[in-house]
Amino acid sequence: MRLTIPLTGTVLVEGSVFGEGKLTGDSKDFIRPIPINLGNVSWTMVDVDLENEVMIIEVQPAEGVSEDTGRVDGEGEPIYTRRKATEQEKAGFLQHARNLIEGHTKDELYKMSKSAKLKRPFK
Amino acid sequence: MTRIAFHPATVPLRILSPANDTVEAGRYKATTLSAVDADLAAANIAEAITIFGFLGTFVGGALAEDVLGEAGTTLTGTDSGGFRLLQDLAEATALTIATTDLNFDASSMAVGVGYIGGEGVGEMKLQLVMGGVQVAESAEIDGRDNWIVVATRALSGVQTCLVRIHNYGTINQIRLMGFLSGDLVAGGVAAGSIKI
Repeated sequence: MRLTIPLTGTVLVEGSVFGEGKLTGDSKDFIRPIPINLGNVSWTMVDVDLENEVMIIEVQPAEGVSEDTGRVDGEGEPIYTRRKATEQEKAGFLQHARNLIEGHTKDELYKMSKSAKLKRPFK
Repeated sequence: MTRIAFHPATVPLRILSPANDTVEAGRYKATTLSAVDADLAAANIAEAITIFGFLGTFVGGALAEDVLGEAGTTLTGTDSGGFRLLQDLAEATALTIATTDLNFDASSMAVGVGYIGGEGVGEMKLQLVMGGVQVAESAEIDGRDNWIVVATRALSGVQTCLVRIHNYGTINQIRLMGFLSGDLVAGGVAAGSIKI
């Protein structure tokens, strides 16, 4: 499943992430999707669209889920166990991420994540 | 017996075309196939393959490695029970696990891999950054498992690739697995590239 997420961070070198690969972000303020927790999914970058200042990402549901066993270890920490996520759970993870992003405007997402818009001082 | 008279005027003059491999019936002026299509040349044919008498010499197309580098975590913390306990990860902050700086040739397609073996609680995720752009993020690090992020992008020149943990939640605890009897390599980052 693909999602389009607004970018934050600072661009040091304008360009693309493919081709010559010149697009470079500030090491202290990476170019990144706004920090909003999509839930129990992982993602990889598909492309960066600087014109619209968004990143297109490919989202995958988590393969496993963690459950509290009700027991604690020697240090009193709860012991968790991992099991494979069901197909229904995986579909739910994806739906949650989709609803979170597509159910809000770009401005709302920036506000929710308390993020600044992408800085492009050399544009 | 029927005799068929051959007269040049009755047989159409044809010209071979480089656009297709059709040879129509008719007459042709003497020529060579390489004159019809200049792409018919040894340099355009794979090595050791002969086509119409041209022995191929092309050996390109092979992918060449540009750089390959890796770095394990150097984080310090409290070792206990086979874990290295890290606690400096407050809400909405990130902790860099490992970093490697590599010098990529122009037009290199790079692949990066970030890894931790760990146990997390709360809403922490592993993130991979290449050339100042976040390119991947794991699912939530909840429970004890191995967490891997992989992504590709083009890179040129000296670039930093790093893996870090971002805390989306409020619980500030992450534990990395390790072997307390030896070097702790419970997390790391690796990147390499192919010239295309």
